[in-house]
Amino acid sequence: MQTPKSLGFGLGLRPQHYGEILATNPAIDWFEIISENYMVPGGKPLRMLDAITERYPVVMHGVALSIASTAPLDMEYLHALKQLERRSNPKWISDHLCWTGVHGMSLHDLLPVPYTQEALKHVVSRIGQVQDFLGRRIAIENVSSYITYQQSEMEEWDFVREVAEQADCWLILDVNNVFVSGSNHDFSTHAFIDQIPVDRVVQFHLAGHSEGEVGLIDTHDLAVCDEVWQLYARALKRFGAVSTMIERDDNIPPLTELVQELDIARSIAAKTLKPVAA
Amino acid sequence: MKISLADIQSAVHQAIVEKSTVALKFIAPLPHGNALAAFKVYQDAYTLRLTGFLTNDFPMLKAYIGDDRFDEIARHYIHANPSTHPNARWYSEDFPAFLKSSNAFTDNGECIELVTLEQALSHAFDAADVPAMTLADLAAILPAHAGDLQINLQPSATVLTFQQNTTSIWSALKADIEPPHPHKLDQPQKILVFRQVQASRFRLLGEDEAMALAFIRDGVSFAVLCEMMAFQNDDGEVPKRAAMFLRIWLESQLLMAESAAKAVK
Repeated sequence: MQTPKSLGFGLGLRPQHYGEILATNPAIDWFEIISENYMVPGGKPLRMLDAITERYPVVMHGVALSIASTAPLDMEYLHALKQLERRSNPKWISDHLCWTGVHGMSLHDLLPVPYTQEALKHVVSRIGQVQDFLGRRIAIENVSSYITYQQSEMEEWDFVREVAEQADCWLILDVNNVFVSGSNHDFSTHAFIDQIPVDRVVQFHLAGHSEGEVGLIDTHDLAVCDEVWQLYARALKRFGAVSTMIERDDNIPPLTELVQELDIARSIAAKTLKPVAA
Repeated sequence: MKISLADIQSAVHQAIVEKSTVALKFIAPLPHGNALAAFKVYQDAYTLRLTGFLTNDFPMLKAYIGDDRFDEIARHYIHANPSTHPNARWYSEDFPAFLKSSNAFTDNGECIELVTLEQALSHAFDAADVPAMTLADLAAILPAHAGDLQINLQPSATVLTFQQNTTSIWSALKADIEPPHPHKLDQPQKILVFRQVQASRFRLLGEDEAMALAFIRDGVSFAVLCEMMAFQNDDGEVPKRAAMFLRIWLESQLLMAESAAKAVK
């Protein structure tokens, strides 16, 4: 199994930045697109996507696959996803280890899964179906969670690892999500990272979060905090040079600010991955 | 008894939508804080997120009626319309119809028209891409075949009919100035919503042009268009007016290129 080569340091593509990206060709190595934003009939979103994909590598990142739902897979959605894949030629396609609704409805949220053998078998089977349909491995991302279930039979990291191994899929390690869930559920973020198989991780996510009344909330509306940068350095030590990107979905700053934030990631990676002198 | 994944998901889904405690028995105690409060994060996020989708799609209505009233109407819509599409882009599709069927704006017809206009602009924005007919396409048609020219509107174009001064209200809101007082117009107003250079826009239509656009909605030849216009008002100027509209429509990228291709063949 050949893990894809690192793309370097990227950003989430957001409509606020289309003009500046196309006018200035900023030093960003690649972009991650939110798949659903481009699953539309036509118009500016797809024109912009075409223009960006001519200049930069992209990866597709979805929020609505609902891979862990007990509702049937949405084949209409999968066909639209495949159509977008043909158009954007992504380096990989990802979504979240979560469910978003049942009974034909969507809650438009990334809900955590009970870490049970039944759920594991179910998720592995569904990833297999999606990979067969798309004809390629997909990447699955650990989510932030504010609850866990009484029925869980294993730790989250064991569940994630088993999903990846049994389904033979890639993983996105969302470092911020590890930090948020670790804080909310009082688990060791280092233990989480140490249990994720090195050869499965194709991408790191970095993002900001907020403090809620009952814990940390994965809001993507602030800069990456120091603790998450430290955890990122820890992840780099274990996984090596992995494609890294910053997600910002609310309170979106000017592109230059995000590029500067990305430079912090570059700097940490340069220091952490520096070859040891003989 | 072993609880299945489907049972857990069904209860959690119900508890989020109904803001009930039906799923709490499945939620583990938190190391610090209580599980009920943690679960409420998901319950609150559900309403906030769907309200955000509506705000994103109907910013002018929100600016017009204010945050509190908009949020109240959004809550009613969310309660009556759980999202059935995985893509948030389509969540608000039934919002105008919902408002029409509710009594929220019985005496405020301009609000219904405002959301109708906002939705048409959204549809125009990401409607399917079809190459637009150009002057060059037109020039490629031999004069003898000009009457055979098939003209069809782009999928992004639509014509609305408003009874109120809604477009003036929309324009004021867009410019962030005090909107005019709503009132019923002496004559219904026809509005063309379309996409040009990747931006959705609208303009008011004269009676003649509105009628001509109605004729070509489903595609007709240029000759038939002239005949239909002449049938409505044969003042001897029909070909001239039809040619003028054709020029305006070409400049606005309103027509589909494939129509011209058919005429060339």
